[in-house]
Amino acid sequence: MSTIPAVSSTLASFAADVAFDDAAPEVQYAARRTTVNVVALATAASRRPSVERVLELHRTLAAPRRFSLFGREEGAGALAAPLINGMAAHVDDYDDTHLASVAHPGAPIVPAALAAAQYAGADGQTTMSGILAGVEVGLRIVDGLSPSHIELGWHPTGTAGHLGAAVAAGRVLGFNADQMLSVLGLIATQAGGLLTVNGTMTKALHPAKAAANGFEAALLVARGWPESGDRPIESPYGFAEATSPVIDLDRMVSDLGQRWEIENNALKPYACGIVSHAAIDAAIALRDRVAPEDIAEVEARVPEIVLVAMGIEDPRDALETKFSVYHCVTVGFLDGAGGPPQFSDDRAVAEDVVSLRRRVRTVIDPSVPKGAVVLRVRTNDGRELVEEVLHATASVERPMTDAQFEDKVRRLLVPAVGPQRTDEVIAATEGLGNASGVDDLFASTWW
Amino acid sequence: MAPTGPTAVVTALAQEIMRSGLPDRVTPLARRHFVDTLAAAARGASTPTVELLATYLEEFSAPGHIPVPGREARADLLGSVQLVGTAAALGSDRAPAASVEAINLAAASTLGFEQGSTCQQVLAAFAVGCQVTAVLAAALPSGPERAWNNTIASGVMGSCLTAGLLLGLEQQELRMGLGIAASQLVGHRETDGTSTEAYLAGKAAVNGVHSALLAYDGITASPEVLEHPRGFFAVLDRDRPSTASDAVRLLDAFRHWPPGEEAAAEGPQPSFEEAFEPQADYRSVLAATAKGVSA
Repeated sequence: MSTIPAVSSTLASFAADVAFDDAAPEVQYAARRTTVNVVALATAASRRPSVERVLELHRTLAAPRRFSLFGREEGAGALAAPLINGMAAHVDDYDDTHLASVAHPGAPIVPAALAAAQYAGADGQTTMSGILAGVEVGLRIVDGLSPSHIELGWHPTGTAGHLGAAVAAGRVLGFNADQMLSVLGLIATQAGGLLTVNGTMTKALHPAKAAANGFEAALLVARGWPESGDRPIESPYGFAEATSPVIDLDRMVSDLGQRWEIENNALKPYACGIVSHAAIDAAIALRDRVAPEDIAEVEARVPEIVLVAMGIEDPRDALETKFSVYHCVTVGFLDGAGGPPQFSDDRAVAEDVVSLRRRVRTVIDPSVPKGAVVLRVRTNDGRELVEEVLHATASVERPMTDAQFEDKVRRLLVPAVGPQRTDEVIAATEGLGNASGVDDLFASTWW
Repeated sequence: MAPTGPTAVVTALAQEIMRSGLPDRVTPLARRHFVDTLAAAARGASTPTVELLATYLEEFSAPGHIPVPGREARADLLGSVQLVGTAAALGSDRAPAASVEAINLAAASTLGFEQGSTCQQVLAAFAVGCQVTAVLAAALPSGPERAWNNTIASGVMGSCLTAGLLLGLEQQELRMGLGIAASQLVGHRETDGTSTEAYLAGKAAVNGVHSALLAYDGITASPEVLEHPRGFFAVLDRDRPSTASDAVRLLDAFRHWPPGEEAAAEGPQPSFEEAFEPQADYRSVLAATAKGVSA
């Protein structure tokens, strides 16, 4: 008879003991890059309209503004700060992706860890330990539920984000294993977020709420909140069973401390869902061989997950373009790029875009692996061009080089804080592990 | 052509009830439940769980202006929702503790005070929220193997409607609010019987109220979240085909209010019940429930 692994207590013990300084250099490197990515994104996007709207609501709620925001000197309340920072980090869909689960761990988890650090006066090394613990626990849990979790309709960024944010905050606050189990119990029952909001402002609320709820759960446990059940993940009445038809509990806890999922967290080169990045690559590769007006039809053969996450055929605005593989293919051909300018309100309805986008069709092909694409172009004069991309730019298999990553970060930060301050933000974030606190990091991002 | 999906049907009917008022036979039942649950909130207000929450909120929330039943200190908007929902669950003699009424009372009472609503408006919004919560929960699978606490999960949606109606949201905003709320579902049965179950009654209401406020501020979401292929029913009921017939079924269930008998009162009639007249300012009723004002 098989026994149910003690997932919750095992992960709680692991998280309580995670130490950034003890991690292998490549793990530290991955954690630093995840953090720098979030700081740059949240700083650059700190004035996006949807972020402003949520911030304005929380101004009226008027909680004491003792916590810091990225990109603006104005403070915010304990829950508003991680909420706003988490939303800003994800609002452009340009952050990161753990491809196996299709979760974006940085946006919910880094803001929660930083809020906890500010509250506790924790040093940078402890903060980085929190980020490492949170990302690892959050990703491992949804990895063990993938792909059924996302296929059912859950957004792993919201669900893994809640779990990881609470663990990250708990690690920064110095929780022992029992407290970590309590915080997992209090947050697992709140871990939500539906894919149905893809293409709307609420998608970026998922990591935002995850960061805020995770921090709140940690603050309550720090005050003695009692246990919420001792098996919040693996219980027949717990998180896994509630959210996923197919569950692999063993995978959640196998090779702990040996296999680090944060190393599988890819940083996005394109400002849209990662499962369509290969389609952009393929279109860019083909654009020199055919002019857009000569294209009769583009067929994108993709795995099912692409249409689950990116199936909007006729996007009407910037938010919807980010969830349209049809749009991704189109801007790859037309612009040879996939940055924020390609996913704007203007490009969503531009005549050349709409014209070509209507000639793109998709075929679900189970033989195409996740993260890959086969793009087939039929031209008006009867030619057929084919481009197959197995691993997209900046995937785990083809990771961003340091130069590519620095280029992305600078493109985000320079328009916001200027070139000189950009150096300061990068230095403060990369050096967080050696800093005495997180206040200087926040201050470096204000513009 | 009027929208016919379940989300549109439910929100339209909710607005119709707010405009035309509760059916005559429903009003006394709703009033009894509201007053009983308010009394339960006052009883639960001094439990250790609520005390812990209150000390946390005092440290991190805005200075309060909303009276909390059974407590001297006032709370800010979301703090009040959390405290009232949790206290009402803990103070109830009924099972389950995290009830339809506790969740929707937290939203109705707090928003009613904040908006300066009449008792009649608060009662109607409360009744609609309870009805939607109960209808959605009943439409989900049940049974001992069920991992979801259907009442709490559905309470996020119901309390969003309760709050949205008192905020005066337009129908499209109400639908967006439900879309936001569905992304904040809470409530696994692993926590049943623990302090966290009561906390989740408050949290469901907080998430519902927050969703309504965000919709009021123009945050967008799916306007068809009940019937969406990856929406509310799809994630909470894996085997459920989402079809237009859901709208008809929901509509029928929504219109079928509970039988008109009086709910059993929990203890003696609360002193504040006399003030609960239809056109009265709800603020005066809530203020009378605070500790030191009236037991």
